[in-house]
Amino acid sequence: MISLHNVSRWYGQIIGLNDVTCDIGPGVTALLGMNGAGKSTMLRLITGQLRPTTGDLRVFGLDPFANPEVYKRLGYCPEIDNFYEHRTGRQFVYMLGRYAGFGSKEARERTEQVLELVGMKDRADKKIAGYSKGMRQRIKLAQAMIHDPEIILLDEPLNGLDPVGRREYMGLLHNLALQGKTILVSSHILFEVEQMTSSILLLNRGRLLATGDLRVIRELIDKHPHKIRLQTSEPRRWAEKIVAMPFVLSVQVDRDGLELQTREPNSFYDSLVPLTVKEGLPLTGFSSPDNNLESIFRYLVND
Amino acid sequence: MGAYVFQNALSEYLRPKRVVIWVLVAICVFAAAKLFANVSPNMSAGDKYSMLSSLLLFRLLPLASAIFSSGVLSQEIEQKTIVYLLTRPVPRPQFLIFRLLASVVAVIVVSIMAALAISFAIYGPAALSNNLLSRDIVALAVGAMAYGSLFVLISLLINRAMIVSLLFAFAWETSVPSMPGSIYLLSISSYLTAIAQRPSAGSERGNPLKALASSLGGNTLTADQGWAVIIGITLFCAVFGAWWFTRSEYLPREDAE
Repeated sequence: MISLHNVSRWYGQIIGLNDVTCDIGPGVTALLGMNGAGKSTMLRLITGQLRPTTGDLRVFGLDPFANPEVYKRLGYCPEIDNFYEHRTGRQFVYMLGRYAGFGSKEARERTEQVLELVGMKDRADKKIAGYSKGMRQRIKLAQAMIHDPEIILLDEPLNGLDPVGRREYMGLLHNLALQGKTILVSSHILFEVEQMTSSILLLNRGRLLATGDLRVIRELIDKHPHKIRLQTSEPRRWAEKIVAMPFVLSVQVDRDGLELQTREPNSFYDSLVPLTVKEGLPLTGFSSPDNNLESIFRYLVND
Repeated sequence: MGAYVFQNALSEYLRPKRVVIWVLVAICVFAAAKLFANVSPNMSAGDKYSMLSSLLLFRLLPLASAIFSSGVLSQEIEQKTIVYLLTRPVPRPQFLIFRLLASVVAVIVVSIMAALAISFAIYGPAALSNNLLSRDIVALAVGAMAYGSLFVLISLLINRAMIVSLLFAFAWETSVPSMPGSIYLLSISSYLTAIAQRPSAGSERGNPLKALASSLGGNTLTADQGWAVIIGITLFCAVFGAWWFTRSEYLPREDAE
């Protein structure tokens, strides 16, 4: 569906995307990277808003730049939060339905269908200026789906959505993927992506660092000692128990808790419950400083 | 598809809030024309209309064009809503031309409002039987096309197109037609004056007010020459603009910099 071959894009002296080669097919694929990694540049190239400086980019086998044939089969939900604020959500979606080539009646019917799908049917007569961030995200998704495209590109679509909204949104994407659609979602939040798909493209500073299954990336991460921080009022008692565990490499105690390193984080997490319940060790919280994109990039680049 | 692009853009340009401003402009024009008519009792109605039309109407036309037509794309780019429109299956030339046409219609509407205001101020209830009015309306319509396509082209080529267009409308179009020699040929207004068949400057030397008014359109161009040049400018700017728009990238401003 989407094919990039040695694609680079420069903005003057700055490189936005650097020699990226990949193919994207049906299902949900996550485009993962920190801010400035090149995710939006890649989406703008695929949506034909930009031309590659070098390399070859094809969507449905066609050059997407300003190509109506591609836009008939492609829906795009941009990251920008800009709208025709004086219009209502319904008017906005209808307008873009008409721009997609539908007549008045069909555009109206499709508008109602997609508004229903994104949960905005009852709230779509309010002016967009009065919408919450979550409502704006839903309206953006509605306009991207109105022409039932085969490819849907979503740039940071979960920003601003509440937990319930996120779950509904992810459910919707899952259903679209089951219909055989190609969905490319950009995000900078690993946790978010893990809930959506296991298929990822990992971008860092314009370069494609890794592609494929997120579990493979996870394994790469797990080759490195994994840091876990426990918050407790009795860090020394915890430390006594933890150092005895075979998969724990080191423990560092401080006033508010302790930080340990392990190569088997899952085994460690399994042992947390028995320690708190059976041994009665107090635990107010735990976190993993390594469970973020920055750490993943650090590991991958070091490899 | 093109019809909807046109209709949607026109409804945007002629939103009630915008129209109210232009109605107020027309009321001001009417008041100014009425005042002038009262302080010049010795001039004929035709001369008064002709002078006011040259001084007000053909100054308002490029101003309205600069406002409406330079916003055909630049407004969408500045508001960052261009991304929704350019990722739709509308061929770019079609998109541009139909939006340009919508802006031209909007300019014609507000210009005719001003023309009627002057005509009513001078002729009263007989305003519509003023034969200069119909000639003016034709000149305003072709002028809106020429200015519109020029300003759209400017907005495609440079940032801050509105400022450049307003400078062109106010400074260039006001001063160049009155310049000596053949410099007046560089002004669109000179050709519109020829199409509207205004009197030449040479025949009005005895009367300073008439000379002022006619000097703004005082040239030796014939109506046919005016038509040929205006059509040429319109076609060139529209075709070149459509070609340019088809091959250019349009991004939200901070990304482009």
